[in-house]
Amino acid sequence: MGALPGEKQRERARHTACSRGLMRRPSPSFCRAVTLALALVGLLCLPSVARAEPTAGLDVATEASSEPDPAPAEGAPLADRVLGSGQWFWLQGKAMPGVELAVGRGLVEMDLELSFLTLTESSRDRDGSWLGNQLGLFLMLTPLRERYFDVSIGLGADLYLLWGIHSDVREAAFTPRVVARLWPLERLGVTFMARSYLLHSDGLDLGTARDGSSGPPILLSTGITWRFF
Amino acid sequence: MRTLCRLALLVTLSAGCAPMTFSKEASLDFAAYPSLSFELGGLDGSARQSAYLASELREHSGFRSVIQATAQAFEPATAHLSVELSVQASGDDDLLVTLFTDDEEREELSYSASVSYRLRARDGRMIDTGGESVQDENTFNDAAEAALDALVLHYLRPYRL
Repeated sequence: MGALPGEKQRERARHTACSRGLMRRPSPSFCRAVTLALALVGLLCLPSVARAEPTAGLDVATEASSEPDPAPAEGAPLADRVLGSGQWFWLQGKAMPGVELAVGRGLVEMDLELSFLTLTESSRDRDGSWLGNQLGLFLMLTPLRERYFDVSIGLGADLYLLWGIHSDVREAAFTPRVVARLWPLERLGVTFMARSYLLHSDGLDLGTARDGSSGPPILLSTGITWRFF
Repeated sequence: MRTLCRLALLVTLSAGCAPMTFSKEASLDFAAYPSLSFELGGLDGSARQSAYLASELREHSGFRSVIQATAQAFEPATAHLSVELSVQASGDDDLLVTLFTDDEEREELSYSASVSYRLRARDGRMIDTGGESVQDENTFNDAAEAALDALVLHYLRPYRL
């Protein structure tokens, strides 16, 4: 296990940074979750390219044909809308800004969220305020979709990766969610979301404050949404 | 549309800012055992891993003080933790295969690690015992540190945030 002096120095610096809470090593599961999410979004956004190479004989037949070209369906993307949002979760004693990417086609929409979670009230249990990230993945249905508004309902999961406490601390919840978007402009909208945690891990409690008092078990967020297409 | 707006307003007014709490209970009574001495043994318990464990326990555990046990040192700690660490490369039962593979081949290996631990009070009474294991790590050190992280997670300082 011999290490070069430079390597030792880098390692020592890394340990020092870790011990001071300045640098956290992302866990492999986080990397896998992000990669999977990006791959799914990419898959939905990519146009289908499985167009067969025409043979010489078929070319002639195609050119001679007067039937309508079915090509638009083949070249169409799998998604008919892609939305990006910046949002704010309304939490007591915590700040939670985040971004969301929504990719949909027709009635179905898949939403991905990434948020950043910090404490806004000091705690005797921790010196720092940074807690970690929230990742959300939702499958939504959009039964109401008009020019000026749309409403979606769906199910998904919220995963809290609490790097700020320890690199391996995670909490998760199974989450029904309602989303209403208002579109005063064609591409720019305002988003309202509400969710509740039906099932959740032991260390996560929505609707209970730090001092044990209870509150509404509904997490609201509002945001500004941009429609890419 | 008007109904929708009323509904949104109603939900907003009724919910407002929601309280949400992250918490973890203590795995043992840290007030009764405020100081810890530990020794890391096993086939793969090197000085580097010992230093890492000491650093992580000091940073994250509920023990107020953490020291490495040595044969000469007087140990005033209220609890003593014995940790055994072992790391294995996937598909290789032979340690020499792991040691003499080049970097490119080593990248294809995955490593698993396990720790077993016993926590005893100063009077020798057993307080806590258990084990943790991790798999699919990229390097030997990643596997060792991930297993030690799992141990530290077990003794994480309780919080309610």
